[in-house]
Amino acid sequence: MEPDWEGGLAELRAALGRKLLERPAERLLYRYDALLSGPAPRAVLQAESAADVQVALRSCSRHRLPAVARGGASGLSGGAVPTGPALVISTTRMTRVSIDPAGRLARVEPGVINQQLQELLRPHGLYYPPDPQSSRQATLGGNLAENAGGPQCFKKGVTGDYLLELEFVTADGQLWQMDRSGTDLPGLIVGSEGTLAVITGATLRLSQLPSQVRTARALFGKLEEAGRAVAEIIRRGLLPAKLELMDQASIAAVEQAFHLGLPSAAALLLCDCDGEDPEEVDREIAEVALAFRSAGALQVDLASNPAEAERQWYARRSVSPALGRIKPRRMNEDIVVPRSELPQVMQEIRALGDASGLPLVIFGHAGDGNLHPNIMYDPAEGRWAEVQALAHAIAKVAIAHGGALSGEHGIGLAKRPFMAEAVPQETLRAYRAVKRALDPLNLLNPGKILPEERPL
Amino acid sequence: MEHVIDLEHQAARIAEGADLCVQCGLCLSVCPTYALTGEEIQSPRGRVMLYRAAAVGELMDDQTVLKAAYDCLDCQACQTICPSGVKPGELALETRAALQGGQTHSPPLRAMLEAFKHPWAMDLVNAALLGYQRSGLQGWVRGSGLLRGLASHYGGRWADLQTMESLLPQRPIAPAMRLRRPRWTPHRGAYRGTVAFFLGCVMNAVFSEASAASCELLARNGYDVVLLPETSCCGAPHIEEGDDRGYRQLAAKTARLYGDLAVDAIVTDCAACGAELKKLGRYFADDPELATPLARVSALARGISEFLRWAGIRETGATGPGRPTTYQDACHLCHAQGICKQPRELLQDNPQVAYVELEGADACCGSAGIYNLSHRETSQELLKGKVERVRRSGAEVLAAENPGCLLQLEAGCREAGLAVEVRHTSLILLDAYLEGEAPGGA
Repeated sequence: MEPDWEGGLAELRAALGRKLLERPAERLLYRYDALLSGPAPRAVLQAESAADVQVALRSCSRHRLPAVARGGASGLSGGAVPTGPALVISTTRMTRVSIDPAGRLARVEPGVINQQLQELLRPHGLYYPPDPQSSRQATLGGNLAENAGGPQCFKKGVTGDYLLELEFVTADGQLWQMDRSGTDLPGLIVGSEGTLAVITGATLRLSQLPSQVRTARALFGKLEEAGRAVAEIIRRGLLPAKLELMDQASIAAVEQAFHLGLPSAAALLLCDCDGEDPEEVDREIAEVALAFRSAGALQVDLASNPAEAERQWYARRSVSPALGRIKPRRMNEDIVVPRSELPQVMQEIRALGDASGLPLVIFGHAGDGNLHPNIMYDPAEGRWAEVQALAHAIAKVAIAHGGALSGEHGIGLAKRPFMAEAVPQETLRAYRAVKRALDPLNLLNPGKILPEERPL
Repeated sequence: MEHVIDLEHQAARIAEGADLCVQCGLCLSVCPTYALTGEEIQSPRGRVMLYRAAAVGELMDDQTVLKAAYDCLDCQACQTICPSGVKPGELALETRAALQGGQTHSPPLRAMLEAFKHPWAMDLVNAALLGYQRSGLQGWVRGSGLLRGLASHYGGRWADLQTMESLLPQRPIAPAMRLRRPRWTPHRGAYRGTVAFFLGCVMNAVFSEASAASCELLARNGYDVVLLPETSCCGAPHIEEGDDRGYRQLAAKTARLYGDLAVDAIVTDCAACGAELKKLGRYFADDPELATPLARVSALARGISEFLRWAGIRETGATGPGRPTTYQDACHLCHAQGICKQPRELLQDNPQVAYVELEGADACCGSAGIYNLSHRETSQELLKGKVERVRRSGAEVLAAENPGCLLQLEAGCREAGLAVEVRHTSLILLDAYLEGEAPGGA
C-alpha cells in the first residue's frame, strides 16, 4: 500500500494543530544531522508529550507514512536524517526531568540535553556517566536511540548500562513502559536508532561523582606507540576512568580552531583515573604513566590541578567540532577493535590514509578500542568515490582484526553500505525478523541500519 | 512570495558564510532563543541553514527567513563557541539587509534610524527625558500604575509603551554631555598619550554621567582626551535593522572625523559602538573610498576596560571594604570583541569592590538593541532568568558596559524588587579615584 500523505497530513493537522510544522522554511531544517543531509521531511511534529507521539504514529500507521524521530540532530551516522518523504518527530520540547537523589534515579523525557541533566545532578554530588562528546547539544533520547558512549564509558559502561526503565511508542501508536526484568525489551530498543520504536521517556541510574580524579597526558612520536600504550595499560590490569586518543591531525585542527597551546606530536593519549581513596588513585595514575613510558612516550604530564585537567579535556571534546577547519565535510567512522590489535590497526589505517592522499584524522576512545577515523573532504572537489573507497577499506581493516563497524554512533545511513560484509547473513535475518515483528509496515526510520534485501 | 534578495554580493556573502557550518549543533547549547523554544528555526544552526537556502534560491519564503533573522538576538554567543568560524549573528544582519533591499520598511523604525543620524536629536531625547522626570510626570505615571493598567488590559501598543517607559531609569538622568563637555580634557599626572573618546548616542542621552566618568578616568590615567561633539551614531542601530545605506552614510562620517585623527586610540564606553568601530574596517574593506580610513578607525578602536587594562590603570588610593559587586558581560563586548577578562580584572583589583562572579554572565540579558521592544515576551523571559541569577549572586552592585544592558538590567531589578545598583564600570572606577582624592581619604 502506498503512503497516503494527503489524508495522513490532514489527520495530523487536525489532531496536532500548531505542533505540526509544514512550511518549507521549517521543514528544510529537519533534514540534517551533524554528518549528513537528506530530503526535507513532509512535515515535522514538535512533540510535547508521549501522547503526541502516539497520535502521530497512529496516523502514520493508518496512512502508511514513514516517521523519523529526531533529538538534537548532533548524531554522526545520519540516524535522524530522512531517506525519503517522512514525518519527522522532534522531541526537543519534551524536557521534563525529575531527580530522586536518594534513590539515585532520574526520570527524563527524551528532549532533555545530556549536559543539562549533569548540571542538575552536580549539586547532589551525582552524575550520569555516559558522556558523548556532543553532550552539550545531544538529547538523552538520541543518546538512548544510539546507545551513546563517551570517554567515561571505558570504566563505567555505555548508555544502555544506565537504563532502568524505558517508555516508548511502537509503530502502531501503542505506549509501553517496561523495566529490564524478564525479557529485556528495553535493551532491544536501546541502540536501535529509532527503527523499532520512538523513545518517549526513561528512568536512568545515576552514579556518585568520584571524589578523587587524576589526569595524565602522554605525547608519542608514532601513532602506533599510542596503541601500544593502550594495550600495555590493559595488560597491566589497570582500569582508568577515561583513556582517549588524538592524532597529529586532530591536535592541529583543535589548535587552529581554539588556540589552546597544544604541543605537536604524532599522537596524544589523555587518561583519567578516579576513585575515593587518594592514595589508590595516585598509585593508579603513576602506573598509567609507567605504561605510557614503557610504550615509548616522549613526554608524560600529570595535571597539577582541576583547571589544568579541564583544559586538557576541553581539547579532546573540541576535536569533532574543530574538524570543519580541515575540510567542510567528513566521512566519520566509529570502528571498534580488540585493544591488543590497536597498534597494528592504527598503523594499517594510517598507511591507507597516507596512500589515499585524502586528509585522514584519527581520534577516539582508545581505551575501548573505539576509534574515529574521519576522512575529510570538500564536496566541490568531486572525490566522493575515493572517500567511499577509503572508508570501505578502513571498515575492512576493523573487520579483519575481529572488530565491528560501530562503537557508539550507530550504523544509521553512513555505515549501512558496509553492513552486509560486517554482519553474518543469519544475523541480518534475525535483525529483519525483529524489525518485522515490531514495525511490520517498515514505517519507523526506514532505510537505516539494515541493507536493502534486494537491489533497487 | 516575491524573492527580493537584490543585493547580489550579499547573497554570495551569506552563502559563503553559511557554508562554513558543519551542522555539529554546538551552538544550540548557548543560544538563548533555542533554549526557550527547542525549535531548530530558533537556533543558530537552523537560521544559518535558512539564510543559505534563501541566498542560493532554494527557498522562496523571504518573510519567514526575515522573521528568523529578526528573532535572532544577535548576541553572538554562538560565534564565540563555533569552532568552524561561522558568524550566525553577522549573517542575521546581512540577511536583514539583503531581504529588505538595504532599508527597513517600518515607518517608526525609519524615523528612529533617521533620528540616530543627528547628534542633536539625542540631546533632544535627553531634554525630553529630563522634562519627563523633573516635571514629576514619571513619578506620577509609575506611582499611579495607569500605564501598567492600560498595558495589561489592552496589550499591543500600550504594552509597548509600558515596556519603553519601564526601561527608563528611576534615578535622575544627567543632562547630555555632548555640548557641555570640553573638546579637550587635559591629562593628569605624567602624560601617557592622547586618545579620542567616541561618545555613543544612548550613552549621551541617558548615561552622560558614566561617559563623563570614562573621560575623567582616561585623564587621570595620563591621557589627553579629545571629544568631537559632531560625532554621529556608529551605525549599529542601522545595520541591526538592515539599513545598509544608513550604515554606510554614518560610516562615511566616522571615516571623515576619525580616519586621520592624530590619536593613539579611539576609546568608547559603549559595547555596541566598540564592536561596530572594530567591524567597520572589515565591512568596508572593498570600498575604495572608505577602506583606508575605516581600517585605521578599526585598528585604533578600544573598549574603555580593554584600554585601561592594556595601559595599566593607576592606583586609585581608595581603601576597602569592598561592596559585593558582580559583572554582566555585554554580548557586544564578550562575544563580538572577546573582551571578558579586562572588566573583571579592573573590578577585582578595585579596593571598593568585593567581586563575585555572576552565573551565566555571558548570556544575553534580552536587551539586544530594540529586541526588548520588538520581542517583548522573549526578552522578558531572558531578563527574568538573569535577574534571578543576580539575586543568587548576592551582589549589591551590578556592573555592565553597554547602555542597552544597563537599561534592561536596571528595569529588571526594579521590577523584581531587587535592591541592586546597576552601574557602568567607569562610575565604579571613578568613585575609587574620588575617594582616594578626598581630603582625609586614604
